[in-house]
Amino acid sequence: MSTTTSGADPRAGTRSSALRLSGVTKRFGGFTANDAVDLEVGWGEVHALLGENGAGKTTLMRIVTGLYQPDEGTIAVDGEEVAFRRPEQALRAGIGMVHQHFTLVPTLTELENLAMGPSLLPLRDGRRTALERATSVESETGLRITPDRRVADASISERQRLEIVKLLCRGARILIFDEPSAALTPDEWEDLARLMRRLADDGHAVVLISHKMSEVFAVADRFTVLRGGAVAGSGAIAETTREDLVEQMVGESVEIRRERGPVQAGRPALAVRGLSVLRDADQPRGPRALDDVGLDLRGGEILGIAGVAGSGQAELVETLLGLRIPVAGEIEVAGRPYVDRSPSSFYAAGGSLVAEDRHHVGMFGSMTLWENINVRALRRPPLVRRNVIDPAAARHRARDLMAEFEVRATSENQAMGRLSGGNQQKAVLARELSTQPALVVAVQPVRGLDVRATEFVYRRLLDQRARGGAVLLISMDLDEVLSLSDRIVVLAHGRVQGVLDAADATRARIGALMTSREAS
Amino acid sequence: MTPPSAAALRALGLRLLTQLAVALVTLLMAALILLAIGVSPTVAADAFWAGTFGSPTNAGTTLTQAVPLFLVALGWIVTDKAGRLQVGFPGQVVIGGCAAAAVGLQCENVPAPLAVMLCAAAGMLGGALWAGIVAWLWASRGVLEIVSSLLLNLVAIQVLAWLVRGPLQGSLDQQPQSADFPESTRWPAFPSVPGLTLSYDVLLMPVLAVGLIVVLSRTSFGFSLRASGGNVTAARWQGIDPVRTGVRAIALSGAFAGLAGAALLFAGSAPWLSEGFEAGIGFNGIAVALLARNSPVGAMFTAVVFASLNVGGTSLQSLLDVPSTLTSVLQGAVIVLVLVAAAVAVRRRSTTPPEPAPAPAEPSGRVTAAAGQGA
Repeated sequence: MSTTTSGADPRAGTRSSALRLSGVTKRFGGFTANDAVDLEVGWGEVHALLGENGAGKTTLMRIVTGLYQPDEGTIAVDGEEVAFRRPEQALRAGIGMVHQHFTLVPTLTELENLAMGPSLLPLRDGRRTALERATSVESETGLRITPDRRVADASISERQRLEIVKLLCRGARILIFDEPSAALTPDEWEDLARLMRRLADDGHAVVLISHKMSEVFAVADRFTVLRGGAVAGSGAIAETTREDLVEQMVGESVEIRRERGPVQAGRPALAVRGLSVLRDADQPRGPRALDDVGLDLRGGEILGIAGVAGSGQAELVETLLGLRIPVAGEIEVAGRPYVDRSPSSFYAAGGSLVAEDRHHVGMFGSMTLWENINVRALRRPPLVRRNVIDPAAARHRARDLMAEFEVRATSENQAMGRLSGGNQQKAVLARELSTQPALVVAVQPVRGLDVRATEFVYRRLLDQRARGGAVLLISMDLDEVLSLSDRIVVLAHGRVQGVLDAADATRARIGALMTSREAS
Repeated sequence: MTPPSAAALRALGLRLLTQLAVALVTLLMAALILLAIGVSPTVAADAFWAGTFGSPTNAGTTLTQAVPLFLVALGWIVTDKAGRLQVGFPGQVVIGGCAAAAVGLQCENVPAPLAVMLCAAAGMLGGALWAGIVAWLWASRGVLEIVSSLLLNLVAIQVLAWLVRGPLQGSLDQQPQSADFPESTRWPAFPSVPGLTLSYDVLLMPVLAVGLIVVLSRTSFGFSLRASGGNVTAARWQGIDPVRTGVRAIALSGAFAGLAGAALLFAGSAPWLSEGFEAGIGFNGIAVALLARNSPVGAMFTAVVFASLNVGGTSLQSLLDVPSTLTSVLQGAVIVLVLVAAAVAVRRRSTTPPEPAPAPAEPSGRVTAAAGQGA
């Protein structure tokens, strides 16, 4: 497993270990999120933790910060074994995490945010001590805060800096950065990179979670790659190459391409040109979630969109539904301009959507299965005439679709929330595919499903393709994209990094594009 | 229709049993309080029964008083199903009543059926418009409907105070109340009940209960409403406009409350507009709905229970000198007990096997979301 650990690095012996994980295993039900993970971070070192989405990075860091307890394995901080039951204990031991989403109170000032914290006497005003600590942190690290500014008025990078100061004030010596550059401009990233180096040089231990190769090579000393929950490799950055790391991240699995007829490109189903969307609609000059994206999809074709989470996939879906207003770009659905965008006009234009977050946006748990299957059918004839529903006909339609899509339930009257995840997803597919849509947008369509249900979903998507419909398959699972798509668009940092023909796409090529240098 | 499953029957049985237990505990509390103030519970029970259902006249009063409570309860049920938390019923009852009174006072020479219809329509319109302010603030400004509706109650009470001293003041002795309503606007009563205490508007209870159930379950409006209440994001993603649905639900809810206001005035024993005619109906109606677990049919019965507590309390006071605040104590006790029972039921449900949870296939699948929750 980790054959290249410590021994390969001459400095490892001299540096004492700040954080050492041995054989850490975490299971959720039958799913193993972390499988016997070993990780060693030394004082004065920037350690990059790499891996695809779902590789187990976040779970591992949640264990380190006391949010989860490991099922097996041990954690040692500064050589002493620890067992955190609560996040405060990890913080007390000197472990702090800078989350992607900051844990600050926007309506309070920066100083008040620093003063907040677990204390024995809730009545004491901690502002004075907080200011003293902030001053000493500033003298040590050069990190300056603006005590009286409200956090709401601070920029993203200033908030991040405050978050770091907060951890340092609380005595954190092991700092974990969870994809810290996600919301930063390149200049701000440069500053942060310098800061990470400085913290390490001052003797702190820094863990950087990232999948951007340029960042890793810019600041990290050592790395550990996770794949499928287990360690795929580790070593010194100086002794590795970008290609090496990508290969360790994505692996070289045997590709199972599905058999199917050649593409019979039909009528255009979706055309996107020059689409640009802001990440945060309130910050017109802030970073863009989608930047000049173009897509072309015809009937009888499956277009896969590969990319790590947060590359702009969610924004693309929300823009198609009209829930986000793009700053530029044109969209055509089924060959017609799609200008007046809203969910109902998207469906009316021939679109349909298998959403990623089924529970949140795709179903009504407290309503019956037949109502869920017929949500949109219940708003037009023949199931509704003059605003009056025909429940018998709606139930009948639901029963037919349940049989066709193999939805297992006690009856069509069962509450949707009572069904198993696989059956819920089948019911969603029944709803979305039953209208013979010109375009199906499927986002992570098999997330959380077992093998049988997964196979079923894939078959249905291929059926849609076979009958001349188009599928836009958005997924963070490379194997899924590779096995179903006719063409693959690789999306990274909101830009199209490349379009590959399925025939000559490999994991390695896609992986390289996914992690290629950031769009400047 | 498929026959209800055994589990559904058991749930129904459990629910009825809970209600029975609540009733018993309430009775026990009443008995203890009565003993404490030196009144024999059995004598009090006799007086209570005589005052509420002991004679056709009193039974008529009790049932007629249940109608406004029931109407407000329906208003609560509508907004609850739509996922909105509107509590402006006192204000909507008051404004609905004022609108109905303003129209009714002009109906001297209008034939009776038309006058009654006009007053009812004016009440509904008044309530709906008052609730419309809440809906508009919510839809266009994002003002929480619970806050604006609660505050508008205070405004409505002041509006009423001004009306009965200003434009609608009409009593000869300069009391803050309107003139008596014309005979043609009074809602007819069953002639067979002595004292004409049983207004025909009790027929509204079964009609509207069934009507609301049909609207909610059999119309596309009702479907959109329940969908928005069930999962507002999913509704939006499925092409339902939850804002439009919410606005309609709030207005409909206000119309029910406004009709309750009209019923209080034109089917009550005091045919004039005065301060305080609302008499706590607005908030007690919410309790009626909660006690019926937001079932329109159940609300018919709980409304009668609440009305009988009111009427019986009055008769206890006149016959036995028991303070009528006993009624408020018992109504409060009922609400608290129901809440306790609901909390217990929730705990029971959470210890029995829950709904199949989404498979934790990718606990770290969405780093973005996961990190946010971890914070």
